[in-house]
Amino acid sequence: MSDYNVTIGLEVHCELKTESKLFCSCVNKFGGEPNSHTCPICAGHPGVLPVLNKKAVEYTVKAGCAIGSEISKFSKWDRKNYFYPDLPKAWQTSQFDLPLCVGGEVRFDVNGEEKVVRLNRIHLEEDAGKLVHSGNSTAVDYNRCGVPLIECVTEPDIHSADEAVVFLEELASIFRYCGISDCKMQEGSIRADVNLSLSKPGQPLGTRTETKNLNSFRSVRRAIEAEIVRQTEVLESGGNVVQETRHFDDASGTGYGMRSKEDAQDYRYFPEPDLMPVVMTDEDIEKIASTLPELKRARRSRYISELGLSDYDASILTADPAVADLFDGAVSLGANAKKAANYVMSEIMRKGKTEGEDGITVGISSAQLADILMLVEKGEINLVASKDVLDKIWQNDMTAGEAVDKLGLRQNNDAGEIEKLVRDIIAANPGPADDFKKGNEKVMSFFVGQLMKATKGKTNPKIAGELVRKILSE
Amino acid sequence: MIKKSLLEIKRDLAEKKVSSVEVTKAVLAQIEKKSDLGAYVTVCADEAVAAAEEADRQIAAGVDKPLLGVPVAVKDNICTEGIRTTCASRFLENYIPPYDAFVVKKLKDAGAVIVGKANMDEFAMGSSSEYSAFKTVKNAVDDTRVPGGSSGGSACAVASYQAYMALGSDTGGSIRQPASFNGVVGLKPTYSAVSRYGLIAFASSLDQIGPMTRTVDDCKYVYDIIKGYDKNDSTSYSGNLDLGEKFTSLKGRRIGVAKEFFPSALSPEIKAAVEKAIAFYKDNGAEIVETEIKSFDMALACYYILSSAEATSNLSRYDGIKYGRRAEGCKNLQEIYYKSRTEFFGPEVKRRIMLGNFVLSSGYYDAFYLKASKVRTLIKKDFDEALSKCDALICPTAPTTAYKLGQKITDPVEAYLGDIFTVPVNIAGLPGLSLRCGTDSDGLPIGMQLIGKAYCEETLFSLARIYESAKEAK
Amino acid sequence: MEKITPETIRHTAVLSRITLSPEEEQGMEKHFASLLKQMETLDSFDASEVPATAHILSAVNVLREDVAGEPFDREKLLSCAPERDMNSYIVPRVVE
Repeated sequence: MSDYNVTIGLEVHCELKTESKLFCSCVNKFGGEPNSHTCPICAGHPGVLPVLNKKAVEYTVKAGCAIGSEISKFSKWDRKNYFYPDLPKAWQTSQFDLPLCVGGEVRFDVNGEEKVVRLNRIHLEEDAGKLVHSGNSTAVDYNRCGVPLIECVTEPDIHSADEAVVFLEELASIFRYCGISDCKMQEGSIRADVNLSLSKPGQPLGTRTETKNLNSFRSVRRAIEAEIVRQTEVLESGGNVVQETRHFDDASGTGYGMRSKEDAQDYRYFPEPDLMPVVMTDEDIEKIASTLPELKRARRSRYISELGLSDYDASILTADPAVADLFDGAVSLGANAKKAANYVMSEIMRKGKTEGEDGITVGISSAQLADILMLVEKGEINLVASKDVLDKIWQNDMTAGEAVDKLGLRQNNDAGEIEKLVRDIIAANPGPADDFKKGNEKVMSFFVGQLMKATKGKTNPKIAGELVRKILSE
Repeated sequence: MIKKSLLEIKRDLAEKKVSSVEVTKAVLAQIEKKSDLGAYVTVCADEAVAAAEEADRQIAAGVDKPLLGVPVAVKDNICTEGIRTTCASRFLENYIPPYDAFVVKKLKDAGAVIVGKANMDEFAMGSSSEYSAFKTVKNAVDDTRVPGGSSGGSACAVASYQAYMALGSDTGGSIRQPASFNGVVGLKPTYSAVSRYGLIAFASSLDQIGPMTRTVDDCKYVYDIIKGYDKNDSTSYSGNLDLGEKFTSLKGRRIGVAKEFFPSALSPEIKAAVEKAIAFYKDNGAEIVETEIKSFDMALACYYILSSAEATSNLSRYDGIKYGRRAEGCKNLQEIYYKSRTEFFGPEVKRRIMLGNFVLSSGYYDAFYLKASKVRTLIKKDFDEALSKCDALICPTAPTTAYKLGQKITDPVEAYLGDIFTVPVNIAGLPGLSLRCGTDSDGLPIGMQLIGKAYCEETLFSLARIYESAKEAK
Repeated sequence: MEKITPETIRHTAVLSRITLSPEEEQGMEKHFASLLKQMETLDSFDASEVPATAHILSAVNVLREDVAGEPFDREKLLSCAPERDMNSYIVPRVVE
């Protein structure tokens, strides 16, 4: 097994999160009843014509800028012709020889080592519909038809399943940071095709196979591992790997060849006469590039070097761009970085996590977060009370201060008032007070607890503790 | 009444000399009477009478619209919501479009009464209207002869008073050649001047919709109604469509004649008629300029390659899944494709699809499709150069007058030669107008073609009008 | 120019998803041969220096704003289908 070098190239498809589809104004939304997001255009009716979505072009260029592609000054549209029930026009509008983005690279760490995978191109195209098989028939749903999709083609720079998966995670993170795609595997908004070949060291690359449409990082890993084993077995037994398109069955964990009985794929690409080319000036590209946020890798190292966070904390905070943005915003508003980090990682991430979902829902603004942290810092509320405040302002415009007042949670910091309350409680509990005088310090917490109970937690615990000690010691 | 021009009947309607219901019923009676000519695939009498009643109500209420109450026909490859649109193909014989074409909306907005859908060659592929899957159209002047095509039904309907105007479509001469064969006026506008949205595509980069009428003024009147920018057609022109000039004197006007326009194969009667028209222009003050279109001989091959390539792709959507017919008893997906397409496409459509796939297929693309795309560059350049020296070019519309039914159906390539004067105009994207310029010894109309600069339709109307009024005066 | 073989015709028919009878195949072969003869007019032309024209227009960047419109009545679309089941188009089970 170790005799062979593994060479992998990926084609990654990501759906762009535009409001509308690529060539018509149908809503671009996951799910919905079958064919509820369709119109004569995306359902391929006779006589319809496409009009290109501007945002989809901008998002593709943004993706290219994020990975350092060269953005094409002139790019055009082509028809990729083939018959399939999920493709109502019987061609996919795509980009053949002049894609929007050429080149680029993605850097990532695998087992502490930095890897670089070069991109060949990123082009924009339309997604196809969905087939649902049951019994003797297949139902066709065109809701996904015409959803804008970018195809990112890598150079064959990947050499293991680990590298492939980390590369995909990094690419997905870049696109999420750019705000161009949710890259949600479970909704099929990111999918990958794996081209894989084996070769003996020093020998030319072997015949490659292409495993299509892998829609989870886990399937990518399993498909690669299974294909390495399969090709090794074929070669070891003296056979030849056949160049073919393969399908990976997630349930059984095995791949199988899709022998096309028909024509060897001849897509008969030609320029799409119904769409005009896209021309970009340096200014256009600069304008889009200027909207790029600081990406994950850069942010993580800044958190470590400038904010003094641990590697682990920095990784957690930057995993989701919405969380990182929240944290960054609060820090820039004056919150203490370490305290903000702890609060985000404990309270916000707990509250924002939904069962079965990829991302974190961030229900407050950076300003609201900074407010809460400030109130805790000043002692106006304590950490326990801050959770009630968080609940109150979650997905709500209310300031933390207003919530504290509304909930009546403002902490009592008036030493005179607290002293009066402490004296009352000590007077009402002569037994424990005697115990203290006999040297049992533990009863201190009994009195503080009684005080908190009486004031519903709104007493400054530090002042209360000091006063209990002082009065008991009198 | 039915023999009046569109502008005359429009005036009579506005002046309430006659009601739209009366006019519409008269036209419907004529359609009934002339049904042997096969001009219509579908007659929508009920809808037409209802629209006429509505028009009469509006006229009574003082509403004025450019075509209010005027009965018109629409070629059956232009989508009409709720009215069957078949492209004269078995494949679409039950297709009821869910939307109106841009031009149909324009006609409806203008108050027109659509009396029916005009017959044609299946999918507009043909020059004789004998390829209609339903019935052959006959020439309005001599019913033993072809009406030309593919807009044969539109031309016949207008020439035999079954409509005051009919919309046709023209990919390589499909408006101008039947106009010539039936002695009516037909305009193929500049590519992009009239929206193609809702025109069932044959060859997207060549198709244009245009009016067919009995007078030049009617033609201009309808053209002004249907032209204009459409945001749903990416190839629709948003600039100034009125670059032509309106004039009544030929003084200072220059008309170009190229030697390629009079090949040896041209019928002597047609040659003489066109030369006589040229002499008319010269005698009335225009300067005749000798020009050349060196690439003229390559236009036909270029046209058949490009139009078939685009048609192949455009017609792949007819797969028996989303609309139209599906062959009976298909056990699997491939059977649906093969059986439906084999059964429901006619022989000429199959030939074009086959040719298109051939010229696009791997190994042949460069020699055919790519080369034709380059020839297109030359043809465009040659026309631009020739037109830089004159206001318009003049040539025959077709090399023959209407031939006998069945005469050319046995040799398709022979029939293709009938398009030599019209296809170069589509390739160059220019406006072309066909106007009767004589009668041959069989009593058949001879047509001449005026070719203008892009968006200079007005110049063509002016030249045609001067000729037409001089002939009427005689 | 290329020579048209029966194999070319058959392959093209597959790309076209059209079944040709033996007679139709022969007819098509003849038609192609005749067309290719017509296309010989292109042989004399040296295309190497000439750019291809995909669009006769010079317009570029014809774009629409990213705004979702009103939903289309899907019943109008589905009612055109030769076979449907509730809200889906139906084909015999597709095997990959």
